[in-house]
Amino acid sequence: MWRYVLGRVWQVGVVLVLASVAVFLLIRLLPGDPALVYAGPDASNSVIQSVRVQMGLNAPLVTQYLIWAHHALVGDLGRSFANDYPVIQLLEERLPATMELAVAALVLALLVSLPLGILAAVKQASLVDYLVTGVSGLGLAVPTFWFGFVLILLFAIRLHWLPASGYAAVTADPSAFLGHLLLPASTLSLPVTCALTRFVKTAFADILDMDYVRTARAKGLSSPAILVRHELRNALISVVTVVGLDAGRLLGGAVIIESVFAWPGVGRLLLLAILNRDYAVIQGGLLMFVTAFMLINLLTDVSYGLFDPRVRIGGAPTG
Amino acid sequence: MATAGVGVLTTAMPFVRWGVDGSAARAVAAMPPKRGGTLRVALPLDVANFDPFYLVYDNFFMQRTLYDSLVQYDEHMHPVPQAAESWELAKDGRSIRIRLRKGLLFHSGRAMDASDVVFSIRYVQDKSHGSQFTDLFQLIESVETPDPSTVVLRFSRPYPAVFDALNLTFVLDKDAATDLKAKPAGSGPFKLEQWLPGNQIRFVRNTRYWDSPRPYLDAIVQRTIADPNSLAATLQSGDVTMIWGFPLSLYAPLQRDPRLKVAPGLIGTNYYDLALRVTRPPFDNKLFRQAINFAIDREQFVKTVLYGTVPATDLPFPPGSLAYFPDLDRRYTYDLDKARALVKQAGLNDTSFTAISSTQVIPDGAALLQIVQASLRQIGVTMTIQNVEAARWTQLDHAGNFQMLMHSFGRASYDPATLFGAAIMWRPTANATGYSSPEYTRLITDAASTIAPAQRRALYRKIDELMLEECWCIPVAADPTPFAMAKSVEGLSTDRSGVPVLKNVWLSS
Repeated sequence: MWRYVLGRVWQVGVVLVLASVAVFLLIRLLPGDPALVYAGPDASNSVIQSVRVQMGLNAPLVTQYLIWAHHALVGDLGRSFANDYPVIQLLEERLPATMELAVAALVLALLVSLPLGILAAVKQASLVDYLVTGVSGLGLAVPTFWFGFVLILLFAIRLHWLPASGYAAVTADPSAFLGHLLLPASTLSLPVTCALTRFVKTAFADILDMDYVRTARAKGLSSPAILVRHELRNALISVVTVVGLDAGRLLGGAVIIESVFAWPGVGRLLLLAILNRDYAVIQGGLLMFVTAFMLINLLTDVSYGLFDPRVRIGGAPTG
Repeated sequence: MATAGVGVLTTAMPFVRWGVDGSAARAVAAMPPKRGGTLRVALPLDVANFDPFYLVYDNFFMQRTLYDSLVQYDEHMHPVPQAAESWELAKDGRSIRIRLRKGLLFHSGRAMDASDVVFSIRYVQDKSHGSQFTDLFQLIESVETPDPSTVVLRFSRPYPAVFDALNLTFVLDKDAATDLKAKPAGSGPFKLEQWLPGNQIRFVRNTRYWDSPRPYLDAIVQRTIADPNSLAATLQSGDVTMIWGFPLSLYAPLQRDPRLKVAPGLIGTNYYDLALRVTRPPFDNKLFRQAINFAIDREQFVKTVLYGTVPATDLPFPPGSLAYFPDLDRRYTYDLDKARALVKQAGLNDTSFTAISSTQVIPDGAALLQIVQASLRQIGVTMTIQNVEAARWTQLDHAGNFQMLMHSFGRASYDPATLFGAAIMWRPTANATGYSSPEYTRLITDAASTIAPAQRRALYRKIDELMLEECWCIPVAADPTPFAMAKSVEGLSTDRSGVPVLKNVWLSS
């Protein structure tokens, strides 16, 4: 198992290097000159040139990359063109908010989708099943940002139960933190909850028909024991895969939700950096996302070992 | 000049007096200003940095909050003392002697002196800092400090518009301005307490501020809410008490809310315009450019998109400007017959062109282009609208790579020389429309260097006539950049850039 993990970590390193080159080159292919964006279109050419030199953009591309990569190895991801803040500090300050949002959305998704999916699977072709399937289908069709606005209109403007936007640090005021978290996390979790509900239902329904479940029932095991030891653990193998994919999607979807709810996360930081051509922030932020995706994939693969003994022992999972 | 100029249909602004520093609070209402309270503001953009010479919309609520400039303007465009206590402009306009206010302290506790002014001027003159108004300071040839309270500036030519530069000379604490992008170094009515980038920024009252009893507020908390609907929702839910930078589409619903008051900013700081590239067809034809000017239904744009908050105009300055003449304003009224005749005279029937806009830069510009497109269709001219991303728009703008560009410009409320000196569509050299003429260059240079106001005004009239004849850049209407706030917010005014002067603001409850 550990050999497997180490091998994957090595792969992460290689991918990061390749990604750093790709990111570095791609953003420079975007039309728009950071010095011009900073100084504004009315600036004279001499001002723009002075700003460009100050930003270090006059050096050859290879030199620029090597300088940046060399510093990145020791944790210095450069500075923002706009406010001179170290990129690593900007990311460190903004990452917790995005993680909190993504984790909360995932937790909400699991809390809702697992019981509902199992219920729909157990009561297939009943009114409950149709309701769950129908509502989750509707939830997938609804634009997430619109759903967010509906929640704001209802809970913030009409009822005044929750704030319309903003963020409070959990260390500063836990109850305010939860109050600010609830609406954006619910909004972000909507598509994931709906997709996961349908997937859990399908995965669970397949397992209900399996021979080993029928055997367990024949042996006289109680329903809860069958549910946990046989049905859930087997269903979770495929559910974990989907959750791993969705976790990545949650990080990406957070960008829109961060804008709607003024949630100060990395997604919004990256979006503005792209608009402003703030190269160092874009590079640092994208690399951070690549790392996050790869770690999530690694965790997903490792977690198979928890659910599937065949992975632990060393054989390949079948069926 | 304090009221919004001719023909404004706005639903009154009794609580706000624009373009006035200091006297705004006195003019506002019967009750005297109250001390205390926290103003909670939400803007779509976070502070970009703490450089007061870097004037982008992001920094509007920071600039005069953390910093003082040498002078401000009253409603008659007369300079009033701020960090500068008094001054004498030489009769030949080639130098000015400034005496600094005594006992003015920076936030660090150190007293301001002439060396700080020298440092500040050198800072903004340094092009690598990318200040949008560095051009105003390039005329300063030398800076002398005969004593710690006096600064003498000498210019390379007569500089009657120097007070615009002094209005934008923010005095930096030279000992604290080591990294002005990341850390402020000012003397302004508020100090920075905390900045969480992308989240919020908190300013607290400078208890040793020179302009006592100001500021009235204890603190200002500014939050960043990018989405316009969320911005409005946050104001309506009462989480914040002021918002700015929202699109005009939200003007009417916010105005209908009985708990709020909404008003445009200082009228005439910024204008919407259509820039025409005169070096390529079809806009290399003057008659065709004039036809476009007659085909713009400005009244419809002002009424339906800008909610009647501003007047339509075909001049790039507001009433009260040295270069404004009422008889020249509205020479180009909406007249499709005249437009059609000019198109025919130009030999450009059935022609087509592309208009570039960016809704990220000018959100309400797309609506204007659609209005113009519909009018042009009636006279057989086809306009295609292309929407591009902000950075791309900036690139096309700067390079003059367009036929028609949806554009806007600032500096319009300053001395006309300030506008014509550096605005990309108005300057005589390196003009992004490609327009240039020896006569225009001569008139601009003469008007900027002439001292006598009557003579300058005569020169600006000639410039206006030339502009209206050649139509390389077509002003449409002022940009209202409105504020929306709770009814308890009093005393708001802005400077000539449209930057809010928060030291006069107070909360009635």
